[in-house]
Amino acid sequence: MSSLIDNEKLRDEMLDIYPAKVARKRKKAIVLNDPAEIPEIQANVRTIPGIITQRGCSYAGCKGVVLGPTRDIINLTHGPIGCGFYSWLTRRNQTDASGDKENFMTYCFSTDMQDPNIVFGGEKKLKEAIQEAYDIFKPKAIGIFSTCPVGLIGDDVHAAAREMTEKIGDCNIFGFSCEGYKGVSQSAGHHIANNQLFRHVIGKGEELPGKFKINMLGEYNIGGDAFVIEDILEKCGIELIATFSGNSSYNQFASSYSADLNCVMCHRSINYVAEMMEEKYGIPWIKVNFIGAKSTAKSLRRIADYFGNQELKDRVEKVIAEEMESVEAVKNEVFSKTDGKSAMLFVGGSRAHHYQDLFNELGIRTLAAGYEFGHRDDYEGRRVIPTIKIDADSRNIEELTVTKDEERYNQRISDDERKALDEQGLDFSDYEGMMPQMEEGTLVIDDLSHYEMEELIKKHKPDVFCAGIKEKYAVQKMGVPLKQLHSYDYGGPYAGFEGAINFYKDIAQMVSSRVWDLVGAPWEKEGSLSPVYVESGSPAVTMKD
Amino acid sequence: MSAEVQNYQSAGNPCRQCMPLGASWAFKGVKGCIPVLHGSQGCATYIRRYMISHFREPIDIASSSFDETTVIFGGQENLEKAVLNVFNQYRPDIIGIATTCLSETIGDDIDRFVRELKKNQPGLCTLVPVSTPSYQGTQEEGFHRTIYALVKNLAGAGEVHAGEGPALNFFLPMITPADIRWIKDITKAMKGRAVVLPDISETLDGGLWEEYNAIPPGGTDQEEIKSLHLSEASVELGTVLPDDWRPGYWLQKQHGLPNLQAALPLGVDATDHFMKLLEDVLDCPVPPEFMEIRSRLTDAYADAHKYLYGKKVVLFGDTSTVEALYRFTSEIGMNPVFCFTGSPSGILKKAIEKLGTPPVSTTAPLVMEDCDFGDAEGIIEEMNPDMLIGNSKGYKIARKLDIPLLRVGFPIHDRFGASRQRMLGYSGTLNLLDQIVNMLLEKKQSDSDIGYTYI
Repeated sequence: MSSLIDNEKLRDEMLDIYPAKVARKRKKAIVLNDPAEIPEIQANVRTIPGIITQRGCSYAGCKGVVLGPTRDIINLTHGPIGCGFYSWLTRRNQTDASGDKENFMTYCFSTDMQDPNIVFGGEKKLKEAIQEAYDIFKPKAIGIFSTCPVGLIGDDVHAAAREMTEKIGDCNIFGFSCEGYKGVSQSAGHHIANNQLFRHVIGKGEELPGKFKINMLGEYNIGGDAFVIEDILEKCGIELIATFSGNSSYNQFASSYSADLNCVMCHRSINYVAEMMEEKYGIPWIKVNFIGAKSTAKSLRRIADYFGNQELKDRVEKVIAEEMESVEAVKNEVFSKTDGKSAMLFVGGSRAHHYQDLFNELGIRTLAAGYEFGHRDDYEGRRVIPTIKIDADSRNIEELTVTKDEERYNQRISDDERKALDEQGLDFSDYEGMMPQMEEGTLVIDDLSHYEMEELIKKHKPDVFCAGIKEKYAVQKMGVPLKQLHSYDYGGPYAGFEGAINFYKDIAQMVSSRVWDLVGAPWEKEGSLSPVYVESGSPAVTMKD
Repeated sequence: MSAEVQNYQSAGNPCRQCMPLGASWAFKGVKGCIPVLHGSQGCATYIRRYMISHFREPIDIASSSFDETTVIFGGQENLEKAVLNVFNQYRPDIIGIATTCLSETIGDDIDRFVRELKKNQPGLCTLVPVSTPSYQGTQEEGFHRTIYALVKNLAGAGEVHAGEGPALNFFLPMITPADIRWIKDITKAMKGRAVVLPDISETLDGGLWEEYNAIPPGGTDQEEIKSLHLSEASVELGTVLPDDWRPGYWLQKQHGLPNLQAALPLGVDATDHFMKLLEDVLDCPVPPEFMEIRSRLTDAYADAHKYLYGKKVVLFGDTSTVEALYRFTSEIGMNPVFCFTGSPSGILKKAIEKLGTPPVSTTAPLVMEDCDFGDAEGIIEEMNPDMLIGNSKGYKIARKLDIPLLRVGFPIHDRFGASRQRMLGYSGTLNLLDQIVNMLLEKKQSDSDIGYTYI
């Protein structure tokens, strides 16, 4: 049905409502895909005021996304109470705090700025708050997250951090200038978080020994995804040094330079760390995807290929074969319910791409997709990076100059080995983006507005729409089920083989729910319900005229 | 009371939100209204996601999306763009504009911006600005200030009241959609008409739609707000607020409209007072079916007494909810030993002092304002209460200390049906009473080694 819809016309209709200037700008962010010749899409450009966006702010990306999932760093919000409150355990990152592990994730620390702090400055209060947090919990590290007013009133969170680190002695304290107005979305906050983690934490720990050592970058353990990945890697005999930052701890970050390969899941939020670690320590990185059973298998094989060890390769094949058996069984069970259905995905900076793999496995077509805070490289692939125009918003985000660490730099593989592996399909330092995978003529829309979303659903009526909680109830009012891909509707995990099984079941359930048939009462629909009378001594008779 | 209560500079696990959330809540209760938060887009996004996780309804809030140049040059141009774009996309009847810490810190004069915008764009819908800097007050203050701004900007302009029956203006605290529906029903049953501002009963607790609505149906009609001064009287329920938060007070001062004040009708006594107030002002007796529920409620009080008597309870949340719960739990024979709120307004302390010590106790309760869960935890541990009543954020303490938590107030994001939670009137009180008793029974049962089924 959906293939009959003229997407070009739909795009023009969506733009109709906007004033000419806004329409011109939005048009560049709404493109018809052509996998053979990837068109340019406008992305990572500031949302126009008054357009209701899915995007959050720099603070959210820094504190909520990247640092939020680490259990033993105290996250202290410097600002009025709202920001700290709204980011308090709202993302569903899980952590394993069993035993006597420290876990500060259930706490919300804020300097709770008041009027006088705005007028006279808040540094004194900040330092007191740091001291209080230290006195109560004695953490290894404290991160300070700046909210909007901080930069304006001239508080220097970095100076305060330095002073307090010196004063306290055994606590690593560092600040983030992630004021909400910086950059165009969460994405700016990711970059700021990457920079400060690299500057203040990575490399501070001891070097860890081991075989087949990797880091998993950009996996935030929503719904327990990181646990699943940890299990698979362990089964395969691959040693995980650190995950950035699902189920992570400070010491893992500090020692992460010990790994021999960085595997990047969410390219958008963490590619900076991957690049900087390669530069400084000589660790190569590859893009992986553990969302989807086939993608998981492929990612594992690529990791094994990198290490080139036959024993490892065999073990990986054995794990894949075992796991795929139960995956196939569940898929076969649900396939008839999901095959031929359609989906739209507007979420995140990688999820809108990754989850298309899971939908493909279920025979579900992706009609339209886009990111909330992606950049052009997440759509079109990293090859376009040199052509991305730097605007005022991205210029203001610091780019660290990284040089080789003379002592610890260790080129993991020779140039020749790297070349050979590249040819085998390892694709070092590359990400091909979302668009090459999508069908011709499908809509790719960056920073989908609430209004555009409504138009898209009205026309296409997809069987399932993927976004977040802000969109969930609006979409469901339109009779279309929405799958939350930030929090997984509090379900999951969806990563790896086990996650694929969960996802298959959840989506099958979602597309076969009959609640939508109940939107109108039967007596409001003509001829759909007739009374049944029971006459004594005779079978029930359906009365029809 | 406890020597362990320290005066911390920072907040650990806060028990309050910021003013713009309250402003958004209030604007969502006005028909055809879209709120615009003047500041960074993160404020709108955080507040949307937070309110949506509580109400489970679409909540659109726009933003003027500041960038670094806006911060330097001021937000007037951004606000103008935001208002025009919202107007073009949604054709709202009204756009409510609330400030944030960012726009207030740079000193944006929101009233002037709106005046100039109205002058330059005469075809626009109604615009109502309100100043809600997040570094002052709490969500409650933002909520009340917004209602005050709506009334001050609009009331007085209308010439007639549409609708039948004598109209009563209701100014309520942040109560649930279901409780607002009850207020409307009882007023109607007594031949009156409730004009509730803001009325979230439909906007934040609606049904499935056959056709998509860009702005959810329901809410207080702007025309009704314009004619508030023509009603019979204003009724303010909840704690007594400062005068400049009180639209009823403003209508009285400006238009001579009688302004009646009463407690939130939770519990027999408070509901009786409220019913009497309605009887007097509407000149109509309380219908017998409501008295039947009253009778059932007092019967339930008697039956529940053995479970509730002397049980220690800790109450927390916004001031109006905590005050109402204090009055109610005292009435049913419980012992509210500790009440706390994140609000530093002084309102709760005053209100509870006025209510006095619960009949079951000889010592006054501990009341803390500007209190967070971090401060409260040690106190609760020491007091070892039987139950906690408050919002979802109390769960951490409830879990740690193994004390049952009844979810009431905002936010509730770990239970279903927050918008349908009833606690007002005889019927709402009965609902809350049942829940309290059952929660205590459940705890008793699950703590028992044997697992008795007659309790």
